[in-house]
Amino acid sequence: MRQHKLALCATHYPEWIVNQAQRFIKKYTMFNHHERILVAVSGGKDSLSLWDILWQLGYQADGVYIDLGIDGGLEYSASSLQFCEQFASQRNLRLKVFSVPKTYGIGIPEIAAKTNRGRQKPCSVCGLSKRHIMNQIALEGGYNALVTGHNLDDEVATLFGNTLNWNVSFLERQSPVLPARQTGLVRKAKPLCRFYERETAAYALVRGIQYINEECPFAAGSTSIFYKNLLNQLEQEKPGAKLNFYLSFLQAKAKGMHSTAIGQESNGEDEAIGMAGETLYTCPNCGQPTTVVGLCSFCRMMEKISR
Amino acid sequence: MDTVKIIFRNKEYEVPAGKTLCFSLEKLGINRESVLASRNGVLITDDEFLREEDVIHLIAVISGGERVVKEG
Repeated sequence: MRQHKLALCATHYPEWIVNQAQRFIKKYTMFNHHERILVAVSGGKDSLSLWDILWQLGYQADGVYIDLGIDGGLEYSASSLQFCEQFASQRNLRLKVFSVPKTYGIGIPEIAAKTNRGRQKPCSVCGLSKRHIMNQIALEGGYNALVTGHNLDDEVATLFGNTLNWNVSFLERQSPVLPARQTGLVRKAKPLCRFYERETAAYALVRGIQYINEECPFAAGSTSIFYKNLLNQLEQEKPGAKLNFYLSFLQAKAKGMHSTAIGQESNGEDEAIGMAGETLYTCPNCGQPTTVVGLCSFCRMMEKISR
Repeated sequence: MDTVKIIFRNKEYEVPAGKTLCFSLEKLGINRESVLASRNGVLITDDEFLREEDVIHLIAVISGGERVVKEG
């Protein structure tokens, strides 16, 4: 780990990761041992590593897997679910499964194909759907926090994209933890946000966690992977550059350097809901919060495709 | 010449033995930040010297998909 000037053996490495994760959970006041946590798992290295870390730390953490109905010739969703089920079963953990095809009759690729936003690539529709469904399940299950396996590379790629496009409202919202809102937004936390993707992969391998190696068939050519490769070029020349970018951003944010333009950039989308001071409404269909009067983005999308 | 076999994404590459992993990856044009390397199932660090007849497996670590514009 050049960014930390640290090299650890296979025994001490996972211990270091677990201890660091606990430090970040506490530092950013993500959740505590008395609360019920819902871990969003995909069958990949990050989310399963996160669940393993929380399990080792003794948190009350259940998992939720969303079957997106993605096949891509690989039975991608079915195979991802198998990894999650195997993981949960080995540790006697509770896994909730929500199936998009069983609930809505079609999978994410088919839903996306019927929309303007997802016609070219379903990733945006997939993200919107996952956020909506995960929040709904967390609320219905009475969980105190929804946690995701976003790692530092994910965070830095998001930060880089939003900085390039100067999306101030999204920069304002990017944080290791987002507090719950009374209007129906569950607290969200990212305990792995300060670990490099390479570190979470190494953790999974050293811990013997079986995860899906195949990438989502729709991920090829995505902007996030392009940005990650660019940032890795920077990291190769300047070890620690990614971590420094993220931590400097958090420090600047803590000093109030991004507190501008709330409400000025609303585009009627719900992806960035929940910023302090923002007016939220309740979707008459699902009861979840929305930034506009009437249906939320997800329900609006589902209504359009059912016409 | 003594060589080392490096396997990455189902492709095999041969590099000279006696060099570090870091050096070998650079020669192959592979960014060291985007992979982990294992020898006989054990992860090795970038400064490890590769020995004659070593077989090194590289594991890609980058994942993602959702377009980077939205957060939450």
